[in-house]
Amino acid sequence: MMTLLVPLQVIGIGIVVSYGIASLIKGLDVCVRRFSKADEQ
Amino acid sequence: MNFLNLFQGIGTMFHQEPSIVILRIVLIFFGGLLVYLGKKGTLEPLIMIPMGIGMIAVNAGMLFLSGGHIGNLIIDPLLSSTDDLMKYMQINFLQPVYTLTFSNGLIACLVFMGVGVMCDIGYVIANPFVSITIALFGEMGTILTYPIARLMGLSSGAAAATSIIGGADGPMVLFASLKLAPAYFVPISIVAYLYLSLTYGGYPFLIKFLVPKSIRGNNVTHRKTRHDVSSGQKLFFAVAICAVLCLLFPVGAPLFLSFFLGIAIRESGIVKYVNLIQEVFLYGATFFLGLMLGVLCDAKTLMNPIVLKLLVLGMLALLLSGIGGLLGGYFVYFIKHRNFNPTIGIAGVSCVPSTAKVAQREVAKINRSAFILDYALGANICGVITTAILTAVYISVLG
Repeated sequence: MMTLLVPLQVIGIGIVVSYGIASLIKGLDVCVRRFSKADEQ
Repeated sequence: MNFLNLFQGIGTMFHQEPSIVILRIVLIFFGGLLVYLGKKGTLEPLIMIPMGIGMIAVNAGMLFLSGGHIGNLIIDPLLSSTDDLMKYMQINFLQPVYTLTFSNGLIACLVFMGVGVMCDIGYVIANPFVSITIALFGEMGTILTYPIARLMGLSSGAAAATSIIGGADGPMVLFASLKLAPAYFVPISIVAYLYLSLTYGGYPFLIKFLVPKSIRGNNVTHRKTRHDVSSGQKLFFAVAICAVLCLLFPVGAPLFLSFFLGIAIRESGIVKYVNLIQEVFLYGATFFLGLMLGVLCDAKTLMNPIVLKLLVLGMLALLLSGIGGLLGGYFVYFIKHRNFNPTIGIAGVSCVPSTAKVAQREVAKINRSAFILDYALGANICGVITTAILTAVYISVLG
């Protein structure tokens, strides 16, 4: 049981952090685009 | 003068156990085979040529040392006491390279810095969720190999370090085995690099087996390209992600720092640093990596029964990751209403840039006008990031 727990824990944390990073990228991308549009206007 | 004392490489063969002698001879020929396959391009020549020659030299060049011991004047990876280390650093010519760059992970970080300089993070910024999803599927071997390795009797640290071979990232395997299973650092690294150089030749067969011709030539339409992202934005993203990952996983900070420093230097446009890292650090580190892996392959080290298990597990990890990556490709293919090419999934296995090139090459064989390299490189770079994250989590959980 402990043997299975470790990889489940690893992939669980891995998924949360990886999608967190993807969301961070997306969020920053949206912000950067808004700011650059505002600058252009 | 005794013939066997004069030519000690041959003489030592008469004083060692027959099994070691046989393995020495096999490894000498195997080293030759690696050089041949490297030259032919079947295996990665940058690693295999120095590795093959190193393997030949270390197994042929055995001699009688003081106290009747048999060893070589190249390297002793098993030294642990400070006195011995200081003594042998002045005797074995590659001992300083091993002690000061290999066993502390510096060489892995230098390679990682070079990988960072090669990576255009714009591909990830253009499609972050698609790239991360494929990369996570491409970690199937990193996750599923662990319980199998434990069932085969490996310790938790060794099982985790072996599982990370599934991430197909050499520096990461070096780093993980140093942190999690230092006793098995040498065999795990050797097995990892032997197999990693095979991915270029093996994965096309997996693609042909799992992706039917009818969809293998699919092009992706309505794409957002990396050209929409400026170098300033890329630099900003690299700094932000590096800070977040170092905050979350300080154990992986050396790897995160090296990788994102490479990206930051590339995006800053400091040409002299880019050239220094790409031409000197990366090639220098890769050369010594190959040579060190070769000289670490002496018969005595490889007589360890764990090597056989590692050979099986390493292949399994890479196979599972390849299958996982392609499943990820199919997942995105269905999510995007078939406006995707599942072959891109293989690039989720983070062997930068080999698997991305494999994906593009296999697609171009079916449809010459199909261009999927941008998506493949995005998944490829995310593969590096997810492998680094999973490595850091394994170290945090088990460390």
